[in-house]
Amino acid sequence: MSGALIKWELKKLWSLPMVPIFLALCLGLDLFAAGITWYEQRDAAEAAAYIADVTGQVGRRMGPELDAALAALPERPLRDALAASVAGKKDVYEGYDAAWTGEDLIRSFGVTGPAADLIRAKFEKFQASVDALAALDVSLDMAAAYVTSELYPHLLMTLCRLVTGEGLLFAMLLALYAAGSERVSRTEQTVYATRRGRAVQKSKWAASLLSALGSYMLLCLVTVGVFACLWRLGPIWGESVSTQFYVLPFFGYFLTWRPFTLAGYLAAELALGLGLVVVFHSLAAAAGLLAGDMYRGFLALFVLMAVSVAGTSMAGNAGLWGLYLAGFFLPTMLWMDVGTWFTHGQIDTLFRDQELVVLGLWLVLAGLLFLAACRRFARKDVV
Amino acid sequence: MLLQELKKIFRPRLLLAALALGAAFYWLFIDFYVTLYPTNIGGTQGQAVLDVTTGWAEKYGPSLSPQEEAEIESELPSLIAEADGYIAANATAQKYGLETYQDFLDFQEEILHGGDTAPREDERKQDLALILDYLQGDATGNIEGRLNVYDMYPYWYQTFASGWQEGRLAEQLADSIWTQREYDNIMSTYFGSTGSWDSLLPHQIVGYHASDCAGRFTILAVLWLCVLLGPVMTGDRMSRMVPMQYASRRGRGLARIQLGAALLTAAVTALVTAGLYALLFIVRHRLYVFLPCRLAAFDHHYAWPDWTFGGWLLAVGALHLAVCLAAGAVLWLLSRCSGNYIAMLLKVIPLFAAGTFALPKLMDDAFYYANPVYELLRVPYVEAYAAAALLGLALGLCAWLLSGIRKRDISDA
Repeated sequence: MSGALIKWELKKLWSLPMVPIFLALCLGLDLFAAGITWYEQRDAAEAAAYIADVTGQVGRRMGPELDAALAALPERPLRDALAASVAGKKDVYEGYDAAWTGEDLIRSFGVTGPAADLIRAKFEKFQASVDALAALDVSLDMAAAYVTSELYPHLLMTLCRLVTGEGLLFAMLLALYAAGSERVSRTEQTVYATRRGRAVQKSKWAASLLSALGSYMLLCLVTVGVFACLWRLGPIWGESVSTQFYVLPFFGYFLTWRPFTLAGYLAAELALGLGLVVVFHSLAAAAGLLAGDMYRGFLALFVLMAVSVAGTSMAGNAGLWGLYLAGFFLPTMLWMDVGTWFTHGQIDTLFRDQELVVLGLWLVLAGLLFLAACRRFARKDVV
Repeated sequence: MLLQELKKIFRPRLLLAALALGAAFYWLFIDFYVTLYPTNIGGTQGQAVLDVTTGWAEKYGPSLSPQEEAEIESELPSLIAEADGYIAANATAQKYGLETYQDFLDFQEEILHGGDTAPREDERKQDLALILDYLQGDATGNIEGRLNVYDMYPYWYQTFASGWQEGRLAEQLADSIWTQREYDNIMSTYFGSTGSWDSLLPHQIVGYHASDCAGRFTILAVLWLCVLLGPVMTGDRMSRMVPMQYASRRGRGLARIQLGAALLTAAVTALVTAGLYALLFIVRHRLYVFLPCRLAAFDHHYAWPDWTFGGWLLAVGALHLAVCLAAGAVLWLLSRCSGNYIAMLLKVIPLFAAGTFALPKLMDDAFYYANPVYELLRVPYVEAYAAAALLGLALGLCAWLLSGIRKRDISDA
């Protein structure tokens, strides 16, 4: 791998007109998603900005002191709405029974057998994390109060899923193009005639990976930046993501294995997304080399991804719980759970930080697969 | 030559991949709406509406005469007696001394709206839920749902029969809920000389979800077309076949044949997905009994055309075909203008994503006032215009490209 080769490969990638256009379209979609939601929820945005403003004066911990401080603020409808939503709030994580939550989920989903035992064991261990969150009184963080349940899912689920999904897809396409670009320009017989020429695949991999990572970070920065400018959250970024106001339908309180602030959780999500971009990029590079054709490589990978999602869902529906849980060790299913990473994960995860373990596993597997594909490619007949 | 082009499209491996993707798409995005229909959208009430109105349609035909409506109303007391029997036999109901269905309704009202401050409030709410589950379950044949339908539909019928609904519509016009054109259309289709407000079609359970499902099958068809058509022309360009094809006069006409093959593929895909929709949704749930029912029905959902449900399904089918043909033409164009597969995918993927966003808006409640595109633009039959415009634009672009091919220098191919 030489720097000059990587530079040339980068030029080749970005000289394809649709590459920057596609990136621009992704940015456009992210801005549209961020903008349209803000526009439709202008009242909520105004409320969130007001809450962020007053947090500095009244504090962020709910309780009698905050109630009194709110009462002392100038009278206006937003103050009244805020005061009504925070009045009388208690620490809901004190005495929270994680085991009961686990049993309730097991019963609701009809999980049986060893899978149920594993989930039960997970929730028993999760109790320690809940107790730690209770000790820190994070449920009493005001965050964005009554606006939280609209704001947080929009950022942590919708926008993050969009950005990571675009990042993965773009990374796959870049990797496939890099792997097959010699065929497009009909220089494969010249370039791959020598051992050194065959080794250029690694430079291509590096160049497409740099492009993918750079594009992903650009998408993250622009999307989060626009969101931050529109919603003006100020000190709310530093408040807990496990506030009792953040309740997801069918999920309940947003309880995490370790305490996160909103900014911290967002950063962790996007960082894990970055790891997934690397995984999918390497898988696509390997697929391109093994299939020998960009389209076949893409199709093979895409079909595998679609079937893994559908298969996991079918397994859950059919009560094949072992297969269902195994499905969440696949990278596609890991991406599907974006927005609930680092939480108890309901019945989708088996242990703490499963997301990191799966990511680490697939970083290694994808890397090994790519290296094996390179080795095979090095010996393959060019014709 | 057409046969050769079709062979390039329907390659075994691509077909296999398309089927696998299609199966995954069906399971993830369609099956829930087809297999669990109608409880997935209306719960047990939805199931009751479908069951009861299907029975009425089979017995009375597509519409209700005043005598038939009176006959339906006369069945209510026997249903209530049936419900009384179920309540009397239920152990949880006996715990609270409930003996009749009216006792149960009073008990429900007390707990839900009476500010229940009785001791053991949570236990009472749980017991209420248990009794409701029983009354909505298989053991009672969903007596609660059936009673609601027998209560609701005659009431709606009477609002039209007594003239109350006409007055209400006039008030709504005065309040600008309807435009003058919308109001005139309702008056014409519902109360005009050929008006038919007495149609039995249950729109919310049948009409809306028929169009929602149709939209999903259209997206499936477009997905298949993306897989099959996307690589064809790109492959020709990559293998430098095009200059060879254009070397002769006859070869210059090949592009038209290739476009023809793409459109034929689109038509076949549209028919296959329409067939799947018909079998899995319409036939499976016996919605064909509603085919002769007029869209203008007394369940308060207003449409522009005065068609039957069958005619409306044909119109939705035409929308489906138009969208598939447009997709086929666009994919041929994008594939023709892409130098490699990744460039083609970078063009196709954003368009497919835009399509999955826009198509449901076009197809949901097609030709009804509630259609999202109509609500935005307020143009009657805008769905048809949009589909025709899409097809016209796609074919126009293809025609423009084809007109240039004959004159183009072979080195520009």
